[in-house]
Amino acid sequence: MWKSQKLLELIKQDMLDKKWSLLGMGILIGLMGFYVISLISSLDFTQMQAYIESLPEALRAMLGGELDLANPYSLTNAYFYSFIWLYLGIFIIYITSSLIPQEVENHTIDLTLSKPITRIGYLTGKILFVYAFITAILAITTIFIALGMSTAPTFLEYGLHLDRLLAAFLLATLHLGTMASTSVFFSTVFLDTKKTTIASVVVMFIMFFIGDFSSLMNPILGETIQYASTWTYYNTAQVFGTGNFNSLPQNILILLAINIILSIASLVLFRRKDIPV
Amino acid sequence: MPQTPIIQTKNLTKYYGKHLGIRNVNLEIYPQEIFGFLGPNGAGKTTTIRILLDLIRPTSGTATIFGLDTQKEIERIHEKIAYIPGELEFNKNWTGRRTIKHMLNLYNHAAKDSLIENFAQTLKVDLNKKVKEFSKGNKQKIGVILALAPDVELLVLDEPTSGLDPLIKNEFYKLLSEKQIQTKCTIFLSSHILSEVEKVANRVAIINQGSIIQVATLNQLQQLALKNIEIEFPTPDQAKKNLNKIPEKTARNLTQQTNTLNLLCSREDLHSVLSWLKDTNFKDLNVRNPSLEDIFLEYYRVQPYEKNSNNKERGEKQNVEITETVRTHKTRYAR
Repeated sequence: MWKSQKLLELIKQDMLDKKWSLLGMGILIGLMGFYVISLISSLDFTQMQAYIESLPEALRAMLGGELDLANPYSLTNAYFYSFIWLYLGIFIIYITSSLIPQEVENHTIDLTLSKPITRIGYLTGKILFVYAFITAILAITTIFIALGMSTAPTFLEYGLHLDRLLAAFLLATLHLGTMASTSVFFSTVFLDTKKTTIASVVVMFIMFFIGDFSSLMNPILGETIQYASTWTYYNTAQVFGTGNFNSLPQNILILLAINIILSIASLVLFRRKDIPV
Repeated sequence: MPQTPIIQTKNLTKYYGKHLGIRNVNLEIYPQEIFGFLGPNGAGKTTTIRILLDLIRPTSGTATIFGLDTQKEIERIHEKIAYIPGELEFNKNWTGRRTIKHMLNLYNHAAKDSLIENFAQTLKVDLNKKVKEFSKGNKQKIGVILALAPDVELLVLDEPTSGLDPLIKNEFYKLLSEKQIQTKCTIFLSSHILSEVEKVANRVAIINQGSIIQVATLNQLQQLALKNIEIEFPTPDQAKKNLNKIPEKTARNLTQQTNTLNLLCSREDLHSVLSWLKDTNFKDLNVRNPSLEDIFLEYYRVQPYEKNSNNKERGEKQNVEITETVRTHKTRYAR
């Protein structure tokens, strides 16, 4: 009982520290989603489909295929959910990378770790905070998108599918979670904000290129290596764009497993690590 | 029946890569002791303390607190410890009150608000201010409250008074003594300010270049062979003339202040100094036990000389000496 109270205390303090970032970023990205929806709220998709079909096949493939742009959900995905790593991923990495190293650099960690809390307890608190933070930002964002969808004529005409929105929310949480847990992992390796940020951003871009471009650059090899990227499992084009939920459970499980493995690796590493002066 | 030590380290050694932190540190601190841990900056005081708190892991050796392994049962140990780190820093955007509340909320038995307010009043610190508005001294006061407020059995204080003005320092030591009397807690106090440790400690360990060079009670330390001799001559010229005639290798820290010579000498050399004095026309003589400061400085002076000797041999030799000293004190405190 005491352990959970201590965890809650750690999460609460981090949440209080980051409340303005959370609200600010959640509202900003939410408004951006709302704006994207308002842009496409009056589009004529029949005309747009005809135009896309007139484009050369190679160009269509590069744009993400007809599938991605044929309905308001696909278009919202192409403009919003496909770029969530850019809108929020970098911000999440920035927040996570400094979470533990900053306490080391500011020498505040000594005092915290001298209190009755294990290192595992401390790091678990940080990890849980990161997930709570991501979930809260995406929840705010999702509310704005839901509002946009429920007021946009194109969505109303096409049909309101909140299940797709919920699935996209879940996938985005886990997708951003993998970036955050990568950051937590590197922060336990380096205990240094700069090194952690650089390593996390590099890994993020590598994942992005493998996931989005490997199959375009080399169709045979790319088909195989794209599964090494977390981007492959963040398939909102299928889930949100077309309402195809077939691979959703599998993708959720894989992303969840990556999050858990990285978190456990961080805990194991941090448990043995010397805290530098 | 002998008492179990509250803190016990056995051959505690820490290397930071190739750089030595501490070597073969053996300590035994007994219940209700106020134990001073003295040494210059970089001597290994903070390294020892950080190993005890499991902030860093030793390269070899073991450490136990309350009989519990510091690497395996640190949460249970920390429940009974309060600590002030040497480099005390807090989240700059938090208020003093929030900092204290948060830290104390991590204990199973949180301290009463009224107690915190009393300490704040005594130490004259405004807890509603943000940490970034605090001076170093005021930050240190927050640390002092964090150490004194929780109900614990062991206080580990690493340079607790650095940055405090003399009045508040006195107040701190008063509060510390009161806390010790009221709660019968054990205090492990690291410092390089000997006069402060002298006021409160029962025993001290001197650490230099990573090795403990002496563990003794304050009385023993003061009586350790060295004597402080002050010789007054009629004129400064005569003092200067006699300065060069002092028997070789007997005088340490030899200084002249106008017509007075000041020196430290071992008890064994006392006879040769006194027989030399017979032939001088000194006006006054004062032989006293040296201050802890003098002893401390003397240890610093001796250590670099030993640096070139075989390190391993030196470590082993010191270890035997320390074990002997610790054994003596173990008997003394085990009543």
